[in-house]
Order: sequence, then structure tokens, then C-alpha cells
Amino acid sequence: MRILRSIYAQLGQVCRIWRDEMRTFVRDEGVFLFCLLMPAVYPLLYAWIYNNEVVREVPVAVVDNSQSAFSREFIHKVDATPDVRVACRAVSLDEARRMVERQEVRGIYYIPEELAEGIFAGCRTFISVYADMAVTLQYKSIYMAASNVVGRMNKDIRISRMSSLTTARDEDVAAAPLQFEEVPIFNPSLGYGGFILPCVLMLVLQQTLLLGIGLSEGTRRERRRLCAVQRPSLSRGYGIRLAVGKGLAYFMVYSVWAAYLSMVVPRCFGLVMLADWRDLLAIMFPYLLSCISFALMLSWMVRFRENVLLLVVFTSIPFLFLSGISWPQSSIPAFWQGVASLIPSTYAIRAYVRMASMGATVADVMPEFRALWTQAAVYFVFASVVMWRTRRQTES
Amino acid sequence: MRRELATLGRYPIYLIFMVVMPVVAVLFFTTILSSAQPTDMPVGVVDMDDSPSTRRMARLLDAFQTSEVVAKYPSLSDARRAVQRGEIYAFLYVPEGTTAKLVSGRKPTISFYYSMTSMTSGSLLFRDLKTISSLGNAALMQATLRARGATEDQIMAYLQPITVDLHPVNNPTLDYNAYLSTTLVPGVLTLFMFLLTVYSLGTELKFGTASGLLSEAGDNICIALAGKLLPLFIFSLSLFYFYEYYVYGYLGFPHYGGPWPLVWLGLLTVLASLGFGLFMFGLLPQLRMSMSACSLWAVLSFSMVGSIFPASDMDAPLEALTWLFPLRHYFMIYQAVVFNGYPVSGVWWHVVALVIFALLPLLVLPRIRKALKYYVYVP
Repeated sequence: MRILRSIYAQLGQVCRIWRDEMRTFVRDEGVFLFCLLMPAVYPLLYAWIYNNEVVREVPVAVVDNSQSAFSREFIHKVDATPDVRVACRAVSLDEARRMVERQEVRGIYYIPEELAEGIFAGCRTFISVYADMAVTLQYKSIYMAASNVVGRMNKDIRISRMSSLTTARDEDVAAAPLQFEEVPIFNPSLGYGGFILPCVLMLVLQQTLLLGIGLSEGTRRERRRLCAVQRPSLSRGYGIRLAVGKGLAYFMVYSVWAAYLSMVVPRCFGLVMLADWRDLLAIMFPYLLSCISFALMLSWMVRFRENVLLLVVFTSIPFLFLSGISWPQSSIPAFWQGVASLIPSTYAIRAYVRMASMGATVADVMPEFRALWTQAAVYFVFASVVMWRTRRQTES
Repeated sequence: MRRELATLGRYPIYLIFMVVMPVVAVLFFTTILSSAQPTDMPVGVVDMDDSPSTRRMARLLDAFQTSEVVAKYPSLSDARRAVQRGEIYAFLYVPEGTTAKLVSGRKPTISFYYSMTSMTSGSLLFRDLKTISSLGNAALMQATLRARGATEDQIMAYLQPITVDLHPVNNPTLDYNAYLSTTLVPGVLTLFMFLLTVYSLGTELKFGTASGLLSEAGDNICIALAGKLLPLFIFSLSLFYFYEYYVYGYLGFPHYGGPWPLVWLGLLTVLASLGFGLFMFGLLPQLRMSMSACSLWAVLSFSMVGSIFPASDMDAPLEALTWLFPLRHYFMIYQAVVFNGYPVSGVWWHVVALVIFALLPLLVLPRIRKALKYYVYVP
């Protein structure tokens, strides 16, 4: 009976802590901003920024010294590709260079005088591509457009030289005996948004949690220091109850956000969504737990409430890199791989991208799933210790 | 000024965020991207034909610098699952009967599946595939032509009548580190400058020492702010120069504009960032709100800078909004003047914009003065 009563009392304490924490959501502007406003607005903003997905119609200049049927064919075909747009024809390479310097065009196609003669004489000829390397995606468009067009022209030229062939089929086989097919399997639109947005969605969850919990814990510590409220002596396991109670409050609010970010936002913006909701649930559950414990644990670093902004905000970009999506995981140095394994978002991003964009199931992301649960358990222990220690420092 | 130095000494957090964290950030980006281009990314092979010529194709793929064949899979769906598990980024699929079809001239098809959920690896592997497909065909035709007695030159002229000759101006190695470190690191540095400007002023309010600061400066807001921000300015500037020296001098990233543009660009960026931070504080003279606003701004500037996804391909209103981000102007000046060594005249508007950012706080000086004098900190 006594055991029951003590369990009941402890549960009551957990509930009181939970209630207090829920109140801060509404009362504290900072927590309100980071935990309720930012998760709602930020993804929409990012979706808008990357909404155009691919780089189209990069302006280029053409220097056509050949003035032949071949060079005109090249210019027309290049202009017709979605990748580049022939913005102007320059008289000389120098003129084109000056246009690049004035940022009017991003690249130059230079067609030398001897192009047509070379082709008729059966020599090798060159078309030079000068690309401004400052923006990678633009450089890629410029180069891809030229190499695709030249590839097709080469094939036609080869065919026209083979007088012996009679049927179209023969010509085809002779020009390319082996056919290659390239199949982009996941994220088939090759869009930048489809690639970066899922990562951002997952990261927003973690970063706003870090900010919100850091703010509310920082405030509490400040206030305690100022007023020095005396509380009844701490019973055993108070730290655990604090961590559970607080965690519960954040967990409730963030379950909604997790559902919103992982299911609603991708649908609204037409991102690829192959994951089943049960699979997503299986990943989001440990992810939220480990994020909350992680944030509670890190709150010991926050002496004043505003410091948390300094601590957390700049980490967003490094965390994104560590997840190994924008920069291949296999090329990340071992030391940073180790750091990455400490951060919940690393595994959540990997798992989410594989499930949402590639249609993997929980069984396929088992390593990430286990890692998230391990993190949740370990960080929870640390979080309880931190809660207990900070209370003892400020209250005794 | 002396007072501010004493404050700096008292709170270690200043030192941490002025020096330690930015240095960590600089090292983070430069080391994580140190391989310049990702190499040996894992790819797989599904060889249903398993003949000498198809095995040669797999070896060819392995020989590329960017890809490494790590496994063979018995079927297409096994390989797909491996991609889903994140074990490989792409795989080559050779259907049954490829060699037989090749010999009899029935034009077999080989497929290369690559996942574009990771942009960098996807596009690099795609490039390899392009090379393989032309090499594969070339090898086959070369054999036929050589049998007919053609010379090597004739063969090449036949196979590739027109060759695309690529000149990647100013970054011949296509070094990704040179792209990313040069925009992301200044981004992080400006973020710290924004926040620290606001933070150092806001804490004066918070601890109720703001009016003391004013009276010490003879009630002159300009002197007060100058004294307050001078240490921060010196720290930030030396940090920015350290970063530039490290990246361009030590790591040797392309900087065809020479050292002078780096010097004035660094100075302008630091001034503009501090100016922007001050302006934000003047608009919202509350520590928390102005810090939140600054951090939102700074995090957004990583996307709005347009170094990865170009600003000209965003929606028109967004493209206009990029003018509100100091980092964007830094990038535009950097890529023209430092990276390519073009004259400043092409981007002088961006220079003007940075100067305007640096002068913005003049508009809100009276507000800051009022805030320092009368505002009470609200938690």
C-alpha cells in the first residue's frame, strides 16, 4: 500500500512539473517563438526558397568564328536545351570575357574557325567551353548542355560518313553498338529542393527543441539565482521525475510538429513521399525522445537564457553537413564521423531521407533506429543527472 | 573602452564565442571538405550476364577515382535495397544476354541506376557513367576500325569529330572545398558578429549597467557605442583576417584578385555585420527579440546567399529579398573580385549595399540612446 502511495505521489509530482512546463510555452515569449512559431513557419520559407528545384536557362555568350552549318546547329541545339540560354553572340573572345566580368553571362562557348573544315577533312575539332566556376550548379548546366549536344552531333556525323550502311537500323547499331541507359532512381526530378528539404525538416525539429528547452531552462536558473526560493529538500529520484515531466510536455507539443514536418509539409510541396506512416512513427518516436533528452542534457551549459542562441544557432549548418547527405558520408573524415554519431539529427536525417525519398522500411534503417534508441537512453540518464544537479545548486 | 575590456575579462563566454567557436567553425568546414572531391564512393554491380566483357566493364567502373565497386548483387531488387539501406549510391545493371546481343549486333542496353537524393554523389557518379558509356562504345568501335587498318588519329577523329574542351576558369581542379568553405565560413562568422553585437549591448540592459555606460561616455551615444564595440570590432576583424589568411594563404584557395580585395572586403564585411547587428538592436531594443531576429536572419542567409542554389533561379520576390542579406553582397563581391579577379566596377552596387549596412545604425542612434537610458530588461 505504501509503495502504491509513493508511486502515486511521484506521478503527481511528474504531472505538476509537466503542467508548469506547459505553462511556460504560452507565457514565455522566447519559448513560444522557438517551439511553436518557428517549426511552423521555417519549413514553409525553405520550401519557397528551393521551390524552383533546378537551375534553368543559365545565360551564356557564344563566339562563333566558324559561321558554318555545324556551328549554327550547335548554337540552336544548345539554346533549345532547358539548361542554358544563349544571351548574346560576341564578336571575339575578349568581348565575351568582358561580359562575364560584368556578370551578364556565366559562361562562353567558343567555336573556332576551323570547325567545319575539320569535320569535312576528318580531323578532330574542338568546341571550347569557358565556365565561371563561382556557382557549381550553373557550371554543371553549362557543361552538360554542351556535352549532350555535341554527343548527339557526333553520332549524326559518324552516321553520315558511313556510306556503306543502308538501313536506319544498321546506322544506329554502327554509331553506338552498346546502349547505355541512365536511370536516376530516387529524387528523379534531380531537384535541389527534393534533396535538401527533407534534411532541413528533420533538423528544424532538433534545433528548435534545443533552443526552446535551453531558453526555458536558462530562465529558470536565472530566476532561481535572483529570488533564491527555498524548496523542500530533494527526495531521491527527483532528477528523473523532473526529466520525465519536462520531457513529457515537450514530447506532447513536438509529436504534433513531427507529424506536421514529416508528413504534411512534404505533401504540400509535392516532395517525394514513399514512406508509410507507421514506419515514420517508428523513427520519429525515438528521434523526439533522444532530441529532448539531448536538449535537457545540454541545458547545463546555459547560464543565462540568451546564451543558448549563441550556442545553438550556428550549429545548424555543421549538423546538416555531418548527416552525410549533402556531402557523401564516405568522404567525411573519421573524427567528424565520430562527432556526428553523438547527434540525434544525423541518424534521423539519414533514416528519414531513405524512407521518404527512397521508400525504405524500418527494417532497412535498423542501424539508425538502434542508434536513436541508444542515444535516447544514454542522454536520458545524463539529463536526469543534469536536472538533479542544477536544482541542487540553485535551490540548496 | 577600458570598461568593456574588463567586461570581456569577466565573462568567459565572450572569449569563447569571439575566438574559440569561430576557429572551430573554420577548422570544421575546411577539414570536413578536405578531400576536395569525394572519392571512392561505394557503388554496386548487378551482372546477370557474367561474361568477360561485362566483367571488364565493372572493373572499368572500379578504376574511376570517384567510384569504388564494393559489392555484386544477384538481382536488381537486392541492389535497390542496398541503396535504400545506404550501402551504395549507385549500381550498374547488365541484363542477361548482353554479350550475345553485342556480338550479333542487336544493340543491348546496360543501365546505370544512381540515387539523386544526395546531390554531390549523384552528379559525380553520373559523370563517371557518361565517360564509361562513351569509352565502352569507343572500345568496341576501335577494335573494328583498327581491323580495317585505320590509324589512331583517324580513329579518334572518327569517334569524336567534335570534342568539348572544358576550361573551368579559375578553379581547374573543381575543388568543392573552395566553393563551400569560402561562403559557409564567412556565413558563420557574420552570424557570430550579429549575435555578439546585440548580446554585448543587450547584457548592459539586462544587468542594469546601461545608464552607467552612457554617463561614462558623457551622455554621448556615439562615444559610448564606439567604446563598447571597439574591442568586438578588433576581435572580429582579426578573426576574419585570420580566416582569410588561413584559407587563401595557407590552404591556397583560388584568389585571382590578389590580397588587396581580401583586405577591404574583410573590413567591409565586418563593418556591415556589426552595423546590421546594431541596427537590429536599435529596432528591437530587447535582448531576446533582437537576438532571435539576428539568428533568423543569419540562418536564412545561408540559403539566400545563392552560392549553391543560384539566386537568379529563385522566385522573383525572393531574388529581390536577397539584397537584404549582407552575406549575399559579400558573396557577390567575393566571386567577382576575389575568386575571378574581375574589376570592382561589375559589382559596385554590392559594395554600396555593404556600406549602407555599415551606416544603418545611424538611423536608429536616438532609439538606442533612449533604450540604453530608460529601458528596463524584461525577461
